[in-house]
Amino acid sequence: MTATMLLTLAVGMYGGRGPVADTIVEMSRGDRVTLENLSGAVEIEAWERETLEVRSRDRGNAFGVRRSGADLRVVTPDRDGRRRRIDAVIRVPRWAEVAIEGVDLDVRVTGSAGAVRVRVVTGDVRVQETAGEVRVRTVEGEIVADRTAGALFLSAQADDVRVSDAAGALDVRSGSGDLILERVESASVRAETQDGDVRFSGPLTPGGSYGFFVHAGEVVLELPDGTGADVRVSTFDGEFMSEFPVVVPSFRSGRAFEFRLGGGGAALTIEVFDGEIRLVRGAGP
Amino acid sequence: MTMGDSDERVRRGPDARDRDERDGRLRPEERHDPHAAVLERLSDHLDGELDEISRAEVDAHLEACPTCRATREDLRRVVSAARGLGERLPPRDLWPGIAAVLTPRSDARQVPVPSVQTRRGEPAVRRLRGRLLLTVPQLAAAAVLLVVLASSATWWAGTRRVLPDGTYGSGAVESGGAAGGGSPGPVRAAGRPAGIPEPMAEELAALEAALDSGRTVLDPNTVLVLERNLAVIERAIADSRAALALDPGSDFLESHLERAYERKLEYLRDVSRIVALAG
Repeated sequence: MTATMLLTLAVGMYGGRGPVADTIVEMSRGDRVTLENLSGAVEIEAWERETLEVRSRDRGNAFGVRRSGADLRVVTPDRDGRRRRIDAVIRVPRWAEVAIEGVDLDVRVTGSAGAVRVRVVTGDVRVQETAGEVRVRTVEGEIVADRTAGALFLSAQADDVRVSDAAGALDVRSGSGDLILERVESASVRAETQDGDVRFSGPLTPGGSYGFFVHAGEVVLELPDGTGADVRVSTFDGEFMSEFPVVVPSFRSGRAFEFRLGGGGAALTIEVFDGEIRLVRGAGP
Repeated sequence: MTMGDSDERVRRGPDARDRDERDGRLRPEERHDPHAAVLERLSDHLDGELDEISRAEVDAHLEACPTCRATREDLRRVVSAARGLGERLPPRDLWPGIAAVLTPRSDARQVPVPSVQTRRGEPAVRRLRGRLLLTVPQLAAAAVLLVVLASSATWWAGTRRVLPDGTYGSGAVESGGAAGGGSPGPVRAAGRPAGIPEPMAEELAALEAALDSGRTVLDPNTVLVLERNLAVIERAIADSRAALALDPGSDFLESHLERAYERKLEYLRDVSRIVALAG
């Protein structure tokens, strides 16, 4: 049964400035926070308390939280049945799982160790200092992930995806944006864009798997000296350049070849339909 | 002493360049790069549209140049492959754009060339010296693009009906309710376009059919955004299919095409959710 657990405390006591309304709900391990059908801006901040706090920056735009089993649904009063614009800061326990879905919504998630799932049509999404699995999809809007430890599944159809200082598995995709992956230390990376560039910097782990797939654009991999990889390159109308010494022992066809970089170890696949592939020397670990 | 290009043009009169473009003969400046000049005329050569002198020039070059000969064979295979894909008539509203590409010489300066820009600003079809010029890969792409356009007009046009088995149309489809120039003409029965991975065909068809109605509930700006994104995917599919026509056995190209279809499937799923949210 769905019931309104704890409604607005209506702390509108700041003379019209600052926070207007707070909602605070106790949470238990396994609870999940859901926000759906929203527009505006939402910041999710993880904290050490075992409570969910919803704070609106909009005067008079109070939130409620409805519980259904382990699901805590953040809702806005919406008498007309129309979507309302919100501007809210939501604090969740560090372990909490969070799911956000919006139409025109900017999202920022900071410090979470739980699973995070964000789907927006239009809006920028930023995640930072997260430790759990993060899944983000946007149609129009940039995705930025910084200082993350968990697996990232990021897909931006029309904009860039930027990842920096990531340690978990990466699966990043775009339709017509660039994929910028900097200082990545991961044993599993997959990057795919149809009309954009891919730039990657970081070490390749022995036994790790790395795949870069581009339709029209270039792939630039900045690898430290001493990198070992078994490399497969395929291109239809592209060029390959390497600052590392490369000996190509076999051509799988006129447009595909394989070679070993250093002593081998990581599996590196690069496929570019039309564009340059460059292996460049980067800073060491 | 060699006569300069400008002097040559003056001597031959102001219409000399246009005459060259009409009869397909090499201009003096083109003779400095005979490969490019011959490649530019290969399509006309294959179609038997060059005059006697131009054909002799191209034949002479081909006889001496194995690279250009190989290119001619590639192009011949592409044309043959494109013909082998069967006849598909496009929805009527697409035809003006296609016709503009097919008839550049008659009114090249008046008709804007529809093109999909790549990220790096390179149009898929470009004009040079007032003529529509295509590189060999672009010719291949154009050949297959015609088939793709004819057989896979986007669902936004509201004219496409993809059946669960992945085929387009089921016999003649009567003109629908769209008015004016957007009214679709009869669409002939056509098989499922080569390259759609079988497991995806059914879901693609279902999503596209379901989304036909989405246009009416979405904001026009959202529709434009979605169309633009879909065009990027469709271009990748068209490019991949054109490339496969050139290199039919390529594992890389087959997997590349499959990935493009996967991307389309994912995107249509997203769009489906957007429509559901808007509705």
